[in-house]
Amino acid sequence: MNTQSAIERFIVDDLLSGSRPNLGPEEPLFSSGTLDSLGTLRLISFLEEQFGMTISDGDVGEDNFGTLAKLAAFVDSRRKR
Amino acid sequence: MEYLLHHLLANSAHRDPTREAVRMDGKALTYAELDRVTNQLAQTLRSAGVRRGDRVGIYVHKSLPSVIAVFAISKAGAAYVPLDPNAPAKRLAYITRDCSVNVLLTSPAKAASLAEFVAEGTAIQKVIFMEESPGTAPAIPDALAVTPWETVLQAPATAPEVPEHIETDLAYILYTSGSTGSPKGVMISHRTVFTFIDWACETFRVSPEDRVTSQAPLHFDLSTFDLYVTIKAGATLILVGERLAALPVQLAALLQNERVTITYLVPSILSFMVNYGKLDAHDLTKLRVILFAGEVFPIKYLRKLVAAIPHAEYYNLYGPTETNVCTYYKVRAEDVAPEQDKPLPIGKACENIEVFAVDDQGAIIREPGIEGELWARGSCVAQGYWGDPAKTAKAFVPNPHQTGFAETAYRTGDIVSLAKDRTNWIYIGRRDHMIKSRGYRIELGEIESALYRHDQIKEAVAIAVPDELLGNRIRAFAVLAEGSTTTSKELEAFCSRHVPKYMVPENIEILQSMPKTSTGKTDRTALTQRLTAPAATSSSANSR
Repeated sequence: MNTQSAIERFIVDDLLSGSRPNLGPEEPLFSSGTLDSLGTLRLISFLEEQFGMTISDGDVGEDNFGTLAKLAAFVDSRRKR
Repeated sequence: MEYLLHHLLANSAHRDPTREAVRMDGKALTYAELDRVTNQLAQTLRSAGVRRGDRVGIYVHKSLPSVIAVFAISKAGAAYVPLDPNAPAKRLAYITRDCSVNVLLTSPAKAASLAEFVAEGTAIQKVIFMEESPGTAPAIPDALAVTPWETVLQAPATAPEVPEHIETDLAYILYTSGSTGSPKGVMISHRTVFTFIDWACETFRVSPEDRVTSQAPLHFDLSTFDLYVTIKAGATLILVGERLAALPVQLAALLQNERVTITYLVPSILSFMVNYGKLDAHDLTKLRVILFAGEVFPIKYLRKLVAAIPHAEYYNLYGPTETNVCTYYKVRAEDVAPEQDKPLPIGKACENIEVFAVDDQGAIIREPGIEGELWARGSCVAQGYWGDPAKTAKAFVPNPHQTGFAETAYRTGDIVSLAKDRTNWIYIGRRDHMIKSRGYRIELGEIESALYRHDQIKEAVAIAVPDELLGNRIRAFAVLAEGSTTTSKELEAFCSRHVPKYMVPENIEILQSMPKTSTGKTDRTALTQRLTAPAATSSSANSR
């Protein structure tokens, strides 16, 4: 499973309790209420464990977390380092 | 004279009509504009039949309309009932029936949920849209009469006369989680909320130059500080959209760009911001007062926050919805010294309030170190629970200190002890199943009741797992009917249709049988250990 699909599965299955089948890559995650503060913290734990990365001070904003596509690009850019 | 909430607005508008009263995302209303549009909406409410003492619902996300709504309802002589815009329709429809909300202020974007309200059975008959409909008008159930915003703007711009409106009339009703499955409505009169407003305005020296955030939703009583203390002072209210609670970098940027001077947030949001918001890259020198309440602030994150914004004053405020803030504590340097990890005291009583603690034998506690239940009395005490004299009588009781005449005290259910200084109170915990998560008050019993509505559930138990960043995370266990193939995901989805998102367990584990104690009760300790034991720790349970 690629990065984007793995993140999508976590958000849909774990955060949204499967209340919808999938997420659009460009769909805004915050203004839609898909990610609230608890969901964002759970997502941070998931990313850190699943991808062996550390989310640092300053990382959690619209630029990196705003959409599924942005999240996948952010994770991939960190993993290449 | 100021004794009704809308007097605060009218007086500030009279003093400085051109100052900005409220801002959000670059849009703003001056005091004169806010005063005028709230008059027009109040006139519209009167025309819709709203009379003194009626309850009017507010069903909008944090926005300029939400501020217009609260003052307009006060001007119309009614009490407002905020409906959590993210809560399931079932729960909201119950609230509208419970306190007979006939008129609802909402926005066209919420039109789809109105059909669900009607399907669930609601008392709402009339809807007033607080924004113009974009393009085609939204489909509304036939049962509801709709007034568009354009009509509101044609109403007279003078405040309606409500001559009989007095300070003991209800200002608002806030619904809070109920242990038996239904939320209960805490009734707050104008006089009650003024106790808090007047104290806060003076204690934090709020002036017209201040710029105050408003982040907490209307159904959370932290919002009363933002709305009323700011407007009383003639200062500027900076509305913070819901999504910023989950976007620490954007939240820090808003504090900087809006030159915020006072902010009142729950500790979990402040902790999130201090860990992920890149505070050192933002100029927060204008922030002079940081207030927090709703849950315990872990000292290690408070220490980081004080280091990042050293010039600000910090206050820990305490109080249930039934009293609003009743004690406060100003943070001192030694409270956040390195190696210090004792939680902050909740402090001492605010003006016009007395707090005391009663031990198991009913004796008043006068010595440090002894645990007892905290009681509060004074003009901060709410008027009880709407339509529920039995629950009201249990918590709102005669004050044992006042034998000469009848006076009500509120039993908080919080266990406290007196600090060694004999001045400040220390919060210990609770003996029931009420918990806090991200500042939200949650009865585990309400979650269990929601699960029991599922026809495949034989037994259900909700458990709170303490978490440094969130206060508590919620998990649940369920035993299913024989042969049931219901999955955890289905149960979670079911639960989210009955209770607000912040109450839905992160995970519902299905068990063959519930562990029991020797007396046959559910063994909550064993369930908690199952969740906190290292072997059982799931991948998402860790936090920094």
